[in-house]
Parts: sequence; C-alpha cells; structure tokens
Amino acid sequence: MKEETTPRWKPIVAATVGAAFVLLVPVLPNYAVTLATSIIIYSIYVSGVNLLTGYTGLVSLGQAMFWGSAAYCVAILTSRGIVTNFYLVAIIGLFTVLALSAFFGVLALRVKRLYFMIVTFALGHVVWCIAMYPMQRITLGYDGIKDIARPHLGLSLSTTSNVGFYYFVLVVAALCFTFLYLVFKSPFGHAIVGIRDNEHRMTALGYNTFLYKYISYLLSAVIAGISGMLFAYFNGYVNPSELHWLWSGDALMMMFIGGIGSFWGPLWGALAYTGLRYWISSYTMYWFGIEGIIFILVVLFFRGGIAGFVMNLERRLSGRRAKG
Amino acid sequence: MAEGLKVENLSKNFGALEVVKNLSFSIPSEERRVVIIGPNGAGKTTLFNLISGELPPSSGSVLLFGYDVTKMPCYRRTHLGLARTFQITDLFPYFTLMENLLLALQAHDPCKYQVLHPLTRYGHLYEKAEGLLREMKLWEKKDFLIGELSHGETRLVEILLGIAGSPKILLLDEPMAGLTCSESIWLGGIIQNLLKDVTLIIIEHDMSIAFDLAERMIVLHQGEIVADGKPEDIRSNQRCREIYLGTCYE
Repeated sequence: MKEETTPRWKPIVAATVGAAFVLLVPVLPNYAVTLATSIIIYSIYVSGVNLLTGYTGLVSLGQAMFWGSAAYCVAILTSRGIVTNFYLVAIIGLFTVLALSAFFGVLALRVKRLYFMIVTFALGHVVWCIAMYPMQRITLGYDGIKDIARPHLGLSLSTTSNVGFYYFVLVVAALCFTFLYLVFKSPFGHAIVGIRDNEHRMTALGYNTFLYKYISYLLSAVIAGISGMLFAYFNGYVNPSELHWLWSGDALMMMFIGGIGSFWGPLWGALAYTGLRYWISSYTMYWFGIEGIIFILVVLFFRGGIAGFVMNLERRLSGRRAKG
Repeated sequence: MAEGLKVENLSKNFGALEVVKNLSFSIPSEERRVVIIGPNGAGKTTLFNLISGELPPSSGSVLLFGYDVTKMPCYRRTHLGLARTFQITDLFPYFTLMENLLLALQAHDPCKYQVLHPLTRYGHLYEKAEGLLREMKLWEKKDFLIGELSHGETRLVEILLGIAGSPKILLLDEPMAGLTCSESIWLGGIIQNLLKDVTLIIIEHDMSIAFDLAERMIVLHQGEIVADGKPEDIRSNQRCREIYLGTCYE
C-alpha cells in the first residue's frame, strides 16, 4: 500500500475514459449500449466481491444469493404489479438482502478460510434450492419471471430506452464506487486489510475482527443486491441461474482477471469477461473452455490481473521517462 | 498494592500433555520488570497465550486489574490495558512501517469503525506515530515495507505495536529472539529506558539480559513454578541452578 506519486498524464487519461463512458454512448449501436450496461452492472457486483475477498480476505461462493434474491424481489414485486413504486421496491430489495446477509453472516463467519467458503457455498445452494422447489409457485422455477418493466424514477431521465437506462446504471455505479473508495481510504478499510494479512495480530492489537468481517460481509451483500436489482430491471427477466453458485464463481473469476484487491480491478474484470464472452461466443460454442484457459493463464502469469499488468506497465513507462 | 495481573490455579492441557500445571501468582501493578525464565517446553509461551486470551485455559482463572477475564476475548483484554508481542515477528508485511503503527494506534481510537472519512483526516494518530517513531529513531524508515527493515528493527517494531495502545501491562515474548549480541544489548537498553511506567512481563532466554532487566524473576519448569523472587535469590537458589543453569547432580 505504498503511496506513489501520480504521473501528470494519469488524471487526463482517467478524465478521457470517464468522458467516453458518458458521451459516447448515445452514438453507439444498440448492442454496444446493452453490452456496456451489463459490464457496468457486473462491475458493481464484482466490486462488492472485491471488498469481501480482495480487501477482507474472505473467499465467498455465496454472493450470487444476494444478487439473485434482490433480483427476485424486483421480479416478483413488479411483474405482478404488487409494488410499482421503484424506490419502495429498491428499499424492500435492500432490506431483504440485508436481513439474509445479517443471518447468514453470523453462521458463515463462525468458521475461517476454506470452511467459510464451503459454508457460503452451502448456504447459497440452499437458497437456490428453496427458490427452485418450495417457492416454485412464486419464483416459477426454471421458467423464471419475465415482463419486468423498467423503473419509473420520477425524474426527467427515462429508463425505457437503453441509453436512458445506461445513464441510470452509470449514476448508481458512480455512487457505489465512490462509497467503496471512501471505505478503502477509511480507518475501517485500513483495518480490514490488516485482518486479511494477519488476523491473529489484529486481535492482539485490540480489534474485534469478527465485527469487521461481519460489516464487510453485509456491505458486500448490499452491493451485490444493488447490482442484482439493476440487472433484473435491465434484463427484464430473472431465472434461478442468478441465484446459482456458478454466478458466485463467475464473480471470483472476474475479480481475478481484473486484479484482486485493486480498486478498478472489478471494472477491468467485468469488461474483459463480458467482452471476451461476447467476442468468443460469436466464433465458437466452446467459449466456456476458452474462458477457462484464459482464467488459468491469468492466475499463472498475471497474478495481479489486468490492473496489476497496467500498473507494471505504468511503472516501467514512468521509470523510462525518469531515466531519459 | 493495586491489583495488576493475578493468575489462580491456572492449568492447560493439550490432550494428555499438561503444559501449565496449576499455576498461581500475582503481579501488582507497581511492579515494573518481571522476567519469566525456564528451559524449552516449560510452558512460558503457553502461559502468555492464556494470559492474553489466545488460548482458553483448561481450568483456573486469570484476573486483570481486579476483573475476571478468563472468558473475555483477546481484543477486550487489550482494551483493559494488556498488550503483547510475539516470539516470532508477527507484523503486516504489505504495509509500510507507518501503516503498521497507525493500525496499532487506531485500534484504541474511536475512529476505528469510521467507514466514510479517510484515515488521513485523523492527524492526531499521525502525530502520535511520528512521536513514537522519532523516539525509536525509526522515523527515516517510516515508508519502508516491513520486509525492507533489518531483523533487529522488526523486533523493535514488534515492541512499538505493543506499546502503541499505552498498555499498563506488556507481555514481551522473547523480545531478543534472533538478535546478535550487540543488538540484544541495544534493544535491552531501549526496553530498560523507555517503558518506565509499564509493567513488563518478559520471557527471556539470555541469562545475562534476564538478570540485567529483572526486578523479580519467575522460574518455570515443566509447567510449574520452581522459584519466584528477586534475581539475587534466584541466582543462589539451588533447585534453579540444577534445572536451569545446568549444574549436575552430585
């Protein structure tokens, strides 16, 4: 966590990329807008996973249950017209996720490392099974729930068009990323990284490490919930695969590809994952296998993921300039 | 005399192995330098783990400043005023020296659960860290990663993290472990001089340092207290000489 002096060109590049995200979208073809929207939604989801895994050191295979249950909240409430007010739906969805994570967090955080992963995996699978079978009447099982209307925000921004919805997602993402940025810079953020690196010593220093891990777990669940709700509105359709642990695994994969424990890693990861999937699947139906090979290559040769690779490149470039 | 640390009938078994056997002693908070010595396997580090709360005792109790803390988790004992260091350097390798120290300092500050304000906003923590680092002559190395420090310096940082929370009792588990002779004397001097108002309980293997530091000595052997008293009494205690200092039976 050594602070490094930021090169002068860095804010310029960041501003350009940011401006591209905002300004380019209306002139892009429709498929590109939907692709960009899903990338941003996924990056929110992965940033929550990154908080839990990259910063707190807890590997969870149960994040999809928060994404999925929030998505189902939206689907169930809006497709049947039970609750039509977007803000009320959002609050109900968030409280559902918060309640689930508050309960499951107590169970899962009783154990550490590998066992934590197994417990989150098991809990996630239980939720998936409950949605599939006992609650089949409500969730419609494998068929999923369709006809989810885009939200009415009550603002001048209309989300019915893909471009409008894209801007809505962009604002939510900006809020989430700003919040996480503050968290990582805060004393709390400093402490969770300490717990990741040496929990034993943190206890001796006087930290209630359980509480820190618990808060981190709740925050990451809420962020997964936010992204899940956005996804339900965006996709207009929710099915049980949103709750499945494979989607939790995908989140870990995106995090690794993007760069574990790096602030912008989730965005890079979601970009690479979605982009590659879109691109490769247009050539071959075996895109799953190719994705796996890419993942293995990243883990073997680019431990820091894309973010780490960019940082190395940056360091080399600025080093060369300093010498020249 | 005010109550500091009190241990009553403390035992710890690992399966059939009794590591600490029915220990009782008390250290009033006026006492400053207590050195625990004993051969390998005497149960010294286990005793520390029981006092700090890292291990639950099999039976008996630990009292800290008059409170029964036997069932209290480790981090709450720290807030009562107990701190410890570790025999094997146990720091945060991916943090700089400054960040290590800030982590120890913010543990005792109300800001530690703050989620939305940056750490840099809490200037008093930085000032305190600067004071400690300057006192230890480590200020120039504040931006070094722990791996870039010498072994002697990391042992000093161990102690720094221990004293950061201004404890009343500090458990030092072999602070000189792995140091060269001259480094031991240097660190011994720092321990002797800087922590005048803290009760130090020190595990030490090097006899000359142990006798230099101690105002009181407790000798452990196979989980039992063999002797407890002033260094000069220990030096002349026949039983201690036999089991620890290596005199043969005649």
